[in-house]
Amino acid sequence: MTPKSPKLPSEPRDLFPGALELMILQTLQRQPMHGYAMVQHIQQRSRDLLQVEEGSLYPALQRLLKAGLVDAEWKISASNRRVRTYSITSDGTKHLEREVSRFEQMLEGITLVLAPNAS
Amino acid sequence: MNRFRRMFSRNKLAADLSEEMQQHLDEKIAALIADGMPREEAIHAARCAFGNATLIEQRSREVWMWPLIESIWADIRFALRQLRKSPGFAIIAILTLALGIGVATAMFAIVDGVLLRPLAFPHAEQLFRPVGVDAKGEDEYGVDYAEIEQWQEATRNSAEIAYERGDKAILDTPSGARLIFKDSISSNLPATFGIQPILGRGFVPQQQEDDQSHVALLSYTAWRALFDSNPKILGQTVRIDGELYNVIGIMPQHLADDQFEVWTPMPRSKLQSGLSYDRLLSILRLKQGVEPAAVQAQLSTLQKHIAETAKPGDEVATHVRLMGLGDSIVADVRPALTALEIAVGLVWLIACCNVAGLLLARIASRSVEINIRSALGAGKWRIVRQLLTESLLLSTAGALLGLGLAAFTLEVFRRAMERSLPQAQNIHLNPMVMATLAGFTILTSLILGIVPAFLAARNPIAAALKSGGPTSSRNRGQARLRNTLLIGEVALCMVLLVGAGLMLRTVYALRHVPLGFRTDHIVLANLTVPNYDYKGRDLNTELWKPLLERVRNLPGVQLASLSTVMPIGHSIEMQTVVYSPGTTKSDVMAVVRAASPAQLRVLGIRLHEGRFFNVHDTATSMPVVVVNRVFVQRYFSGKDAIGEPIRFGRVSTQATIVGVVDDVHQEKAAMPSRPEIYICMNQLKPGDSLYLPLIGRFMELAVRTGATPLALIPELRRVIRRENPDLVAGDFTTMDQAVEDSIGDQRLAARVIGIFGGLALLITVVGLYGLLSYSVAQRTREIGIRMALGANRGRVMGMVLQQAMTLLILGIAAGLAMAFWSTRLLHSFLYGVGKHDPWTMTLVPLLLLLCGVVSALIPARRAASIDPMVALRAE
Repeated sequence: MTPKSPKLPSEPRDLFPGALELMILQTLQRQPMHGYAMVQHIQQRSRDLLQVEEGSLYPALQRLLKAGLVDAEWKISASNRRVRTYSITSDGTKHLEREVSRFEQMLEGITLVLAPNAS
Repeated sequence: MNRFRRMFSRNKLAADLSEEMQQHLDEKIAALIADGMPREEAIHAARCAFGNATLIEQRSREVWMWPLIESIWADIRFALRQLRKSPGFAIIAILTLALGIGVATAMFAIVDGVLLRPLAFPHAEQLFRPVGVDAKGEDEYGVDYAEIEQWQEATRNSAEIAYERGDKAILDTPSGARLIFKDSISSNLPATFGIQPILGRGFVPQQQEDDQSHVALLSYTAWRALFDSNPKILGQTVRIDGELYNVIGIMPQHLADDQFEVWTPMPRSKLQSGLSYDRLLSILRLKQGVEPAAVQAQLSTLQKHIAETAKPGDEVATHVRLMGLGDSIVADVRPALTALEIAVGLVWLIACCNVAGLLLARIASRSVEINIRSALGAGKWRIVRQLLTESLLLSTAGALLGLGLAAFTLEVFRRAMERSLPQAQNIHLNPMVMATLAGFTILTSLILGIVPAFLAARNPIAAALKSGGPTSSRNRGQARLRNTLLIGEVALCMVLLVGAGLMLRTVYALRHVPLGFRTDHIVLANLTVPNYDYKGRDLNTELWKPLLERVRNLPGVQLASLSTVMPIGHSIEMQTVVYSPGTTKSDVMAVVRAASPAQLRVLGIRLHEGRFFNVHDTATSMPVVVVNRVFVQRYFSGKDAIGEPIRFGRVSTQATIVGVVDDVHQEKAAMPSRPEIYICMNQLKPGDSLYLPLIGRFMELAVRTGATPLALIPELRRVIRRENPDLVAGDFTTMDQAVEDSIGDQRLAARVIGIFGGLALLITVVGLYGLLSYSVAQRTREIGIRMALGANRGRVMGMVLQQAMTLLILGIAAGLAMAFWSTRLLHSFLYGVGKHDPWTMTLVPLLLLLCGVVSALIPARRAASIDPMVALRAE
């Protein structure tokens, strides 16, 4: 999800800034996981409607780490690999709740405006 | 892990990230293979899905950094590495810049210290010196108290006028008698200037009315040097010229006119006695909102009236001109400083041109690297920033080195100007100067960095990546720019060298002016009489005669004489007006001095006609004088003067001319001889009007010796002190030294411009060498082809030399044109040589040409020794 400009009309939309971070936090809210697993999870859950460039996860993870919303630890995974597992912090949970409600508000507003023939 | 710790453990961060990303890829690949994809394809697909790994790593790292600072720091490290790789370039560039910036900073410090600071009076723009002038506005006349009083009356509402007169005096200090400068002032003088004493209080008007109120203000320097900055000096008394004065205040440090040690109020009785040497210096401060032109007109009208009602024979000005205080202080020095500023500016420009050329060459050779950066995604600004960083680094290094150079230059300057320019002691590297230095540095680096940088950054990538051959238009443009820079350098260098040449010729001419007297083997000394010791006694019999006797009896002394002033470089001079009964010219001003009979023999002055003084001329015999040839010319129009009577002096004295001597240069080698009257010392008695001014206060001793003059000085000191320990004797020197000192200004100017010219020549020659070397290196292939096609070594050398000659000749032509125009600035310094002196204008270009050709020889030989086989193969 690297920002590009200008866009051809037939290409898929970019996510709004912060969207990826929200989805990561939500994913981690369910359970801690490592990078590859997160990507799989997001793609699965979105039923492939979202195309996440896998690498773009990592800068987002760093941002979340810097903001103190997640923690990271090296663990041994199920497939016997050394992976860096991320887990959400309490700050992260609060941030997530707040942002999700804001997002839902925004979505409701846009939906109302876009609704055909609303009286 | 703690956020802060994470921020600082960079390496761990990077390692973690790499491993993480690698694990991700591995897992993805494994998953794809498990799905049935062949390994190669799986790897490829995984990488595609992942995205640009390098960029992602970069972005991830950036989260933890301060990106701007990081990239600037990276630029700096890169620039340092680049500079270390080409030490030759770095050293030359830094040294050149050090010269340019250092010299420019030193110049600014000098201008600041001499021109700007001394005017540190509050509202200095309101301060003026009224000067009495004649109708043409040229000749200056002193004014006396009567006139000033009328001025004060006329300008009561528009200005405040104060006055002063400086004089030498003798101060008794704990360490003995000392010759000082004393300023007698009106009580409102410090207030007019805007100065307050830092300790104690100033004068009040009553102190001028009362003859007996002996109060004094001390200067800061005197207080520190003579009385150890002891605040208890206030209220104590000091002895000045035998009288006791009460010290009531200390003046502040760093006054503009730093020559005075003591100020005393001018007693009104002295002002109104109207003696001939009562000229006063006045200072005027305009009241708020008053225009100087208005006051000048007011005073001029008044002065005209004064001149009309003056006594015949009185020297009175007819107009008044208001001279700005700053101008009056530095009037002599301003042309010199302007010339110096320009010279320095030239050196700085040349240095910048040189380094710009060097940088251009470097950038041309780095064009491939720059274009790769462009291809990798660097924006134009990013590239420019990196190049600017490099030039800023160079300029900073140059500036730091230049700072040391500037400090050194200032020390030399202060030492050299100790006598002639007391304000020079104010010159320091203060914060203002440092700020200028920083400004210069940044300016230089901007100039040096931006132009080549933009040239480099706007190239079309593909074309440049293929092969930046010497025939591509971009390179030709750069070559033209470099050539232009070099021609500019040569031209500027010419200007400096021409100036230096003219100054050297001036100094030579000054040294060889026939002065009219011998300068070898003469020792001079300055004597000041403590006249309170000799009140009522006859100085001739009680001091001067016995002193001469003692001095004559010293071993090594051949002859000795006394005179009020000796020629060249003296500090005071007596002039008198000569009246003209029935001759052609009226009111000739003549230099007058008393002398002992041996004067002519000591100084080796030739007697033209008649006789000089001898033992028969005493106080009771007929008064006689001796004049010089200019006097006879001016006064008698060349007719025979021997035996003629003349009348002279404010208090009219009559005497007969008995001899005519050859002309001597009284003041400087550069100034022609003036009419002169000698009076016999022994004929002056106490009570004569000329007794006190001519032999009663100061006297100069000249001693002709067979041995080395300097060796005689300690003995002389001892003998003089034994005669009278209160006699203040100073300024022991030899006549040769005094003459050298009198052309000190021109010598200094010649030396300074010579040094600048030499620097400029060095920088230019190095620049030429650099350009030619680079050009030869660029054209290696072409030269190889030429040689393969049959050109011999001589022709190749000729080709390089011809390139050098073209540049030199173009530069010299431009330089000559500039020099023609700019030598007018040196006009006031030159002597014995015209502004457009043909010798200088021919020899200097030849010198430059020669140096240029010599510097071109090395690259030429290198070109000639190119092996065509090697050149054609390598690329």
